[in-house]
Amino acid sequence: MSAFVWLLFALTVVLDVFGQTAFKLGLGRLGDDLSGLAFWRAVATSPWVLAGFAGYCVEAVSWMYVVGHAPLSVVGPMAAMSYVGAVLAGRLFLGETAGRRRWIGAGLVTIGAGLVGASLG
Amino acid sequence: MADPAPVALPATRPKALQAAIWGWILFVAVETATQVVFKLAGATLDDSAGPAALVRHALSTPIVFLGFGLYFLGFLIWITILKDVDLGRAFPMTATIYLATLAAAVFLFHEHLNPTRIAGVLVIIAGVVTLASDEDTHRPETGAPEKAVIEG
Repeated sequence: MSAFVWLLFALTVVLDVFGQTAFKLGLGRLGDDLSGLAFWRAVATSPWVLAGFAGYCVEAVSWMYVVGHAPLSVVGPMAAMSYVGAVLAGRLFLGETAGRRRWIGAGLVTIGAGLVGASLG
Repeated sequence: MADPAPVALPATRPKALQAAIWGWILFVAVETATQVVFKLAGATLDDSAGPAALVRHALSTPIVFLGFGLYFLGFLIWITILKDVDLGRAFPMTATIYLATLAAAVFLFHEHLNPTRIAGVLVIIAGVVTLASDEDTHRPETGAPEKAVIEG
């Protein structure tokens, strides 16, 4: 795997976590009293939701390039790093508290991703 | 883990159970197919011509659209699953996508798995199941680990 492909891979993880965080932030600011068309209009005009969606678009194309230029058995499992990023982002930006299981799980995913990356030799 | 139960299925209603099982099989199949098509499509992308040419190429290649179509289909199936099953139950099940993707890598793309890679994937799966089985896991997952599956 070239340095460029690794860089793009890191970008897909960052954009995935950014998208999830942005959706959560955007939806949290809509208020609870919206329904039907009004809800979807608010979703479609929320700056956070739009930013997250734009990130997803870039991510999808980047991911296509990454998986096309790297072994699927390496980058596929390693994409689980976005779960780790989601736990961290939840803690840092959303004020979420993660239980012990979630931290242990995030640690295991990180170790596993390290092993898979190292398996390239 | 104290609670390895796969999914809270309405066991008293055989038809609902059957539908849920088929839904999961379909979901894993679509997610895996998405990764396979993404890989085939991505291999045709060449960055040496510059980003503009890359985007032009992507927008004129049918398999690229097939990939995005499958990606969206997986998203719809996932939403349907979440309608009936708690996220805390459904999320750990997404770990099965990693095994299916691995099988696709070996059988379709003839990738070689060494012991380190197999161990790494197993640790990742254990991590995803542990992380996702946390009491109040809230993650508006939209399908792939994407990729990794997947998804992402």
